[in-house]
Formats: sequence, C-alpha cells, structure tokens
Amino acid sequence: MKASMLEFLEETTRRLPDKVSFYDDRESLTYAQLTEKAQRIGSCLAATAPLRTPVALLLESRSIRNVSAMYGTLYAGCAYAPMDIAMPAERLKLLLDLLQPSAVLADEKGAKAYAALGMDVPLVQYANAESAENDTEKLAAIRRQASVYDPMSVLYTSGSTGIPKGSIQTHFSYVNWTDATNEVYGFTEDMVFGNQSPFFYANSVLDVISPVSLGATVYLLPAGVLGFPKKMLACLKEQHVTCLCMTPSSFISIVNAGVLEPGCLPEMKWGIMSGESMPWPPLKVWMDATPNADWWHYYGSTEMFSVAVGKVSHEHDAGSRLPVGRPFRLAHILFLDEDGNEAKPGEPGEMLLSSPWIAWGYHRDPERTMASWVVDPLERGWQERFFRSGDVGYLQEDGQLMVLGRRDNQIKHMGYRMELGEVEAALRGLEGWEEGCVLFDRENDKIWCFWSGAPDEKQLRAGLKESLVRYMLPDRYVHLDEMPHTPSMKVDRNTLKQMMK
Amino acid sequence: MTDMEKLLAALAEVRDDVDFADEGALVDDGLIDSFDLTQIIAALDEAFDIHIITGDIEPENFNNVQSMLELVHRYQGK
Repeated sequence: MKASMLEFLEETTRRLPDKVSFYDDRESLTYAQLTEKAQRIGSCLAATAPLRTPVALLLESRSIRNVSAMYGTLYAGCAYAPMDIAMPAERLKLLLDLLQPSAVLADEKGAKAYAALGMDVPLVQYANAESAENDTEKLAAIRRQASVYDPMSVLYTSGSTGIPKGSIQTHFSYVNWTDATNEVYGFTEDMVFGNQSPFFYANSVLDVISPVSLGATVYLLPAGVLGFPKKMLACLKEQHVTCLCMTPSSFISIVNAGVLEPGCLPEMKWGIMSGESMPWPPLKVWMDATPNADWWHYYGSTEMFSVAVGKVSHEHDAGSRLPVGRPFRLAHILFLDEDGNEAKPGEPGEMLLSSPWIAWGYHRDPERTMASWVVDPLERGWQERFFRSGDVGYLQEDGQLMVLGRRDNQIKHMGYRMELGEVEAALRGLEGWEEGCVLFDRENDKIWCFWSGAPDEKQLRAGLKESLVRYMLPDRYVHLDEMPHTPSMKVDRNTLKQMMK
Repeated sequence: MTDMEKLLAALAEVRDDVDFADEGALVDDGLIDSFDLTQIIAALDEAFDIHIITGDIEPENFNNVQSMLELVHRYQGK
C-alpha cells in the first residue's frame, strides 16, 4: 500500500513516461514532464513554504498548470488549496484570511487577482516555479520527514454563517479512496477522462487523482463549454473521451439543449453522476446517446468524498426514485433517528459516516469540526469517529442506499452545494438592510429573496455580487411592504413559501 | 433606441464590469463564462422578445456584440 499520493505519480511515470497525462487546448504534459515540472515547483515552493503548511493555488481554472501546481505542492510537503480566481475580491480575501497560507502560487491572471487584495503572503510566480532548478536532495529530505497522515488538500465549501469551511483531506484519505474508487468502477489505463469540474470543487478529485494512479489521460474541456452544448459534444467526440463525471444539472443542461442523438457518443464507457439525484428521463437520453457506456450514480460530499456508488440499471422503473448505489466496502454508515438512536433497518435516519477517507475536520475551525465530527455517537464504547452528513437516507432491502434530502438549509443550486444561511448573512451585511429571508424552490432550482424596507432590488443585486459567488445569487427578488411574522416574531417562512408558487 | 444600444443596455445589466462594446473575444478570453452566458441569453430573449435555443449556439456567436446582434436578427428573421 502507498503512503503518499506522489508514489502513484512516480510509479506511473516509471511505467509510462511518454504517455500524455493531462492536456488542454493549449498545452499537454507527458507523465515524465508532469513529474519533472512538479519537482521543480516543489523545489521552488519549499524555499518559501515550510513543511505541512497550506499553499493557495491561484491559477486560471481551465489550465493543466493546476495539476503541476497541485503535485508540486505535494513535493514541497505542503497541502494545496485551489481557489477560484474569478470570485469576488472580498470573498477571495476571506478565504485567504481563513487559510493563512504560507505561500500563494499564482500564474499571471492569479497574481493580478491576488495583487488587488493588498495582502502580504509571499507570492510565488508559477512561471518561475516551473523553471526552477530541481533540488533533488531537498525533495528527498522532505520525503523522509513526510507522514501518510500529512494534509494534502483544503477544499472550501459554503458555510451557513457566511464563513466557508475548509475540508482537510490527508494523503491517507486519498490513497485509500483512490484504490477503492478504481476498483469499484473498474477503471483502466486506456481511459480518456473529460474534465469539466474546476479544481476548487471536490467533484474534480476523480479527474485529477484516479487517472494518475492508472496511467490514463485527462482532457480539460475548454472554459464555459457547458454553455455551448454543441461544442461540448464535438470536444467529447474529437478527443475520444471515454469517461465523463459531472453533476446531474450539467448532464441535464446538455439534454435540454437537444444536441444528443441516439448513438452519437459510441466511445463513452463511463458516465458518472455526482452529488445529487438525477431524474430518469434525461438519464435515458444520455443512455441512448452512449450505447457502450455504463451509467453510475454516486453519493458523497467534499468532506466524505464518495460514500456509495452504483451502476444504474437500463431497465429502471421510470416512476421511481433512483438509489445512489451500494456503500463502499470501506464505508460504515449509521442511520440515526430524531432522538439519536439507531433507526430501524429500512427506516430513514440521518446518516453518519465513517471511512478511511472522511476529512479530518475543518481547517483552523475546531468549533465547527466538533459539531460535525462525533466520536462514538451511540455511546457503545468503541470510539469510532463519524462525520455527520446532514443527509437523511436509508438502506433498501437490496442493499442500495436511498438518499432523501437534507435536515438543514443546505441546498444544491445549479449543481453547486451551498447554504442559504450564507446568502442571508451577506444580506444582513448590506447597508440599509432591514429584514427578509431567502428560500429555495427545489422543483425549479430557483433561489428567492424576500425583503422589506429601504434597499431596492438593484442595490441588493449589486451588494450581493460583491461578496457571493455567482451561483449563490438569488434568481427572484420580491419586495414586501411588510414581512409576515410568526407569533414569536420570526419571519414566517411558510407563508413566504406559498408565495413562490 | 437602436438595436445595438438595446443590446448593450441588456448586457450591462448582466455584467457591469465588462466592456462589451470593445471586446472581441469575450468567450475565448474567458471574460464571460457559462453563468454569464445563461443570463445573457435570458436577457436577450427578454429584450428582443425571441427564444434562443441553446443547442443552436456556438462560442463564436458570443465573442463580441456584433455577432450577438447578428444572432438576435437571425431569430427575428431580419
């Protein structure tokens, strides 16, 4: 068994040095080139960033440089935190303040975004790092000190208080997850992964990590390609993509554009749907378009990676909800009822997960870590540590997991995980804000903002844009002369819910 | 208001930080992404009372305002 994700990269590089690892529309890297670049970057970073510190990656999102930067950070013995350089400056600064990185590794565009923040974290230019001298002695010394429990990545997700949470995964998490994932999907060396998910989302882990362990090839789909379904389809065909992992919303948007013909993607072998429930009709369109593919559903989150996975049967009963597959052999799920006792077999309960790859906690956030990770929840004395998923589900008789939804205000909007509380926190921070709330219309995937008082819609829109990522912005704004209240003077959300119809 | 003025006004509602009038490679240079695009299409639909079918569009249609206007006119049958 491996003790570092770098061992996967090095093993593949020895075996297939001249095979293309990652490519985009501008650049391409063989495994030998990727390793060399990563070692140069690691040598350069190590001069600035001490062992086991976080490094923020600020790079153009659709570039394979992200991959060299990630593995380079690992060579320096550090953990990477990829960031979206297109997010509002205020939010980027918030994330960097939370992370307190020892260095920022940035390309030209990233350096520009970083300069605007006026922060004093040392900046390492990507161009300098990739051409730095490979200091083999130093890298060897770092490896001797490394532990399998060293942090490898910090991936941020939305938090209900307005403060994002940075999920920490270690080399140990990744090594175990990689073996389990390759096994369950039956992944092979000759695959071509089409990567659509940006590297700052946990969804991309499948595209960055598995292929390196297999010696497969990854093609980065061009920027904004989801907006151009015709072009997306052409890219998948021209690049002979055999595996595509996206959120159901992304798969659905291609179906809605009407570009998929039966049999049009014969080379596709794996269609993988992540994160939320996929309705049957659009899935059927994809199945018809990809006659040689198996379609997989998986359930997971940034903190849990994947929990359960399963192949969707082509003979599904169209009227019923799709299960998310069987729990991994290395995953242990507890189902708890409202009183915190184990739910009866087959009855829904909140899911708590233990697995070798659950995150260790939230970076520099002991309070919220304590709230979400619990030791020995049933008090049976075994001291097993679980992550509280916040999702409700149950195991069917056939062993498949059915996920029913959330216990709280976390939602998936346009395929992205977010907390409605984060939008409300941003509203409360706006000048002149009086009262209101944010609700989600799940059926139509729209966020509604209800408010009363002074600011007009334009001011709200402009204000929220300053601090929120765009997928968090409300779709509908409704100004009320007076907010409805419950007897205890809270905003009456049920009355407002009626207004969304 | 000319169609071009109408178009620029609609685009400014979506992104007020992008110089739509002068940029020639909005999509290729990554100045607008798929979020913007969805909003731009909705804004064009509303401003010109058309219905753009997403399966029809290519990046080339959105790289600059001239191409966007041509697309609008095609939908209007002009």
